[in-house]
Amino acid sequence: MPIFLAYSLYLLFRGHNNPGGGFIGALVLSIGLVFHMIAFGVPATRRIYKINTMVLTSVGLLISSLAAVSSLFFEGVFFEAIWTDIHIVGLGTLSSVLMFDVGVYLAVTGSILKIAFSIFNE
Amino acid sequence: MASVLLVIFLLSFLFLFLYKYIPNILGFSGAFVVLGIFLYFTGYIQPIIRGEKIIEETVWVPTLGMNIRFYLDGLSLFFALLVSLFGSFILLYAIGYMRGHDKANRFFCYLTIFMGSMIGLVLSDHLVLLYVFWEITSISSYFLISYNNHSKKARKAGMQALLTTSFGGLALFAGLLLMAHNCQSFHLSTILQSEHNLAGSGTIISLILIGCFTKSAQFPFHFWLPNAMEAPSPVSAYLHSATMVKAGIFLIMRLNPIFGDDSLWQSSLLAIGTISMLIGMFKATKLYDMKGVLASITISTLGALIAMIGFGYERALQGAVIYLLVHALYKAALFLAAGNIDKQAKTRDLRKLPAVFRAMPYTGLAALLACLALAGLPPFLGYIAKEILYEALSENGWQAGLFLAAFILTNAMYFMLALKLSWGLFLGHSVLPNKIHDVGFVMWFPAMLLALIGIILGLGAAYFEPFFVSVVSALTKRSDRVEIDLSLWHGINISFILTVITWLAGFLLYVKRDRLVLAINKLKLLSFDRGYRSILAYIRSAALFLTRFLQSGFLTRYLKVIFGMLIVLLAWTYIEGGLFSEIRLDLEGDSFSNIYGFFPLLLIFIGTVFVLKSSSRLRILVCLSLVGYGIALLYAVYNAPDVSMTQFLVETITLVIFAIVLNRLPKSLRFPLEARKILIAGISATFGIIMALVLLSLLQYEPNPAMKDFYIQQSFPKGHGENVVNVMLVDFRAFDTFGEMAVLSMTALGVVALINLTSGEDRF
Repeated sequence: MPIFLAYSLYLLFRGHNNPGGGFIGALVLSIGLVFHMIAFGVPATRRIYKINTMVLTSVGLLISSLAAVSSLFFEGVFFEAIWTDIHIVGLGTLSSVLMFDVGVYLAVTGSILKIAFSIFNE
Repeated sequence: MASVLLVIFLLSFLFLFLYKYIPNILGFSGAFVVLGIFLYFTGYIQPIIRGEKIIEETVWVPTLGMNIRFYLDGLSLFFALLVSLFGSFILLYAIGYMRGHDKANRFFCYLTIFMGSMIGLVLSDHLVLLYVFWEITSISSYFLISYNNHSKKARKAGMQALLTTSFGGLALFAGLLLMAHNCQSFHLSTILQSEHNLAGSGTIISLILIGCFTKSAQFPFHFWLPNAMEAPSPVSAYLHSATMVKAGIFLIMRLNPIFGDDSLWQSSLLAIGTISMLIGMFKATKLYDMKGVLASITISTLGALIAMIGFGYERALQGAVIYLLVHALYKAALFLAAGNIDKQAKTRDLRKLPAVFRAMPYTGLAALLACLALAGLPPFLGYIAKEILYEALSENGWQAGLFLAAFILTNAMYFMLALKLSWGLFLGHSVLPNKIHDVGFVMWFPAMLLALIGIILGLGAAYFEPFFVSVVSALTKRSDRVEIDLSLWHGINISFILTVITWLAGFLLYVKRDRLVLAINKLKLLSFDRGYRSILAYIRSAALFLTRFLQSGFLTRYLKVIFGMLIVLLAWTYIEGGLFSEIRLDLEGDSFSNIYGFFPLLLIFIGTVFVLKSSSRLRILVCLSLVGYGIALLYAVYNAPDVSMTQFLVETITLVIFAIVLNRLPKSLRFPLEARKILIAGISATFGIIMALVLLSLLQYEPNPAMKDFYIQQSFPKGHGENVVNVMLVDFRAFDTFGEMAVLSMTALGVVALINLTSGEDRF
């Protein structure tokens, strides 16, 4: 599992310049978690990783929409990208676009897990 | 002005998250912030009186020509002042009223959202912006009415209000769009000044009026307002008497310069207004529930206002503006008082009302003052408003005369109701069950203040004349200013005589009130509430029928229909356009020179063959994913790493989830009928062939190279990324991605709902 998580985060942050990104990262993470779920059952997965899928999804949507409207506060246009000059090793440049991608990552993971959990629980 | 809205919406978030921890601090500071907004708007009074019109613009979606644009003239300033002043009072009151409720944070959040959207509504210059705020007021009103969500009645009332007002909202939206189309502009300020003659466009007028009438609870949509009294009292006071129901009136006033000369506009305002005025008044006389009586008087007064705008000459418009203010003041005060009495004495029934005045002196005094304003006695502003209207109506033709008679009757009824209310408050009939005492300062003070403002405005009306002149001038097309005479005493003239007649008639009605109620009960008024219910039931059964017809519940049948339709549509398009002739198989192109492409093709081929041969579901699934992986490999071979990666991962996750689902299904496939098997095979084969043909024909078209170049060239300088696909997803086409995220989340919810439906458990 840690490998899945690390790899998915790696994919998420390198997405802007290389193959990867929020959606692909989310798929990797959820594949990992679904395997875990099949092996140990839903309650165990939920307990160990402390996941509330709906919270994950809604936080993801919230982050993305904040990224979208954030430019309004800087006299930009709705969904206009903002770039800062802060570079962080491994994360790349901080920007509203990265924030949007993080939102995508969380929302997609949340939705997929929600579906998987409820189907497996049936 | 945009910052004002930002402050209010920020406040609503603060209420939502912090109210539980610091209720009083937040409540009081919230009330003061809104009071500050009121003061901020008072700063605009002087420029407005000088005749300035202020337009403020913030960029929003410039590509669609949608900007956050505010327009401030006399009318919008008048409403903004009204909304913000009442807002601070109501917030103050709600601190006391909502104390001890466990979901009060939500209540305050909705209330401030409403406040912000109401201010936005009256200020917005862009028609779409106006419509957005209009709908937010409807939705927040829904949440506020059904705030007490354990009560079925409250939920129903909220739904009724929402359905009715959003039905009107849709009509309004269509009307606004048509209007913008005709005037070639979405900006109210431009439309108001343009020379486009919209008078005579009956469709626009009727659509817009439907919107306004539903919002302002006018006949035949008046039924929702009395039911909405399920809401907590601050809501009734704020939304359903002082502000939201006035949004319809606001819009009618706002558009009056455009449509004012149209006969349809005038006659429908007059007719609907008069009918609502009379119906509301009869209803008010019948009821014993204090809030119900107040709501019916609201319907009646709003009707009178609308009719007055329908007359359209200056005197009537002046009267309408002042009457609107008067009504907001006394009605909010009365609602707040009713809330206090309800809270302390646990009853709103006028027949069982205890002697409130003795037990709750402050509330009682506030209610008494408000009742006097309702009765239209001097020195209240209500007296002045009525005088102006009488004067305006008595000077003009027979229609005005007829309306005047109805209006005098209504006012006499108000007088009677005011007597009834204050009598009930002074000398209650029943003995108090236990000792009740007055509510705290924060709860009686706003009511008292509202009632007192009525007197202050009445006495000092002359001081406010210039402002009212600028408000009224926004209601007419003519640019010359009409003076208003707001003094209390004009000498003995016709309107004074009519006022005296009103009082006498009111007193007479009060004396004969029991017989009056009997007589009104005999009048079988149509129950529009029942009509609403039967329409709703009809819609529901029609929907059920349609669902049964369309939704068989069998997955195979759905797939058959979907694919069948696709085949028909695609084939039809291609035959119609003669596109089949263009298809050529080009084996010489670049695509076929890549030798690595053959391995995935082989994989896909093998997968397909085994899918067709096997009858075990699990084996079919595995073979299908073989096909999927083959496609992913193909993408990889042809230089699309992102797409390929996504395809791999999606394939994996569907495989896993599918495998879980398979556990619940029968192990192997069986076709009871050979014919059905052939049908399915036929559909699949045809669909496959058609798709292949479509793809082949697509190859003939060179995709627009400019687009590809744009993305590749702009990706780094504008999107700061080297991965073009990803930059497209999160930057150039971010809004699409956002939509897809929302769809995905909704799908997840849908799946959960479906599964819980079958397993009968409620799990989240």
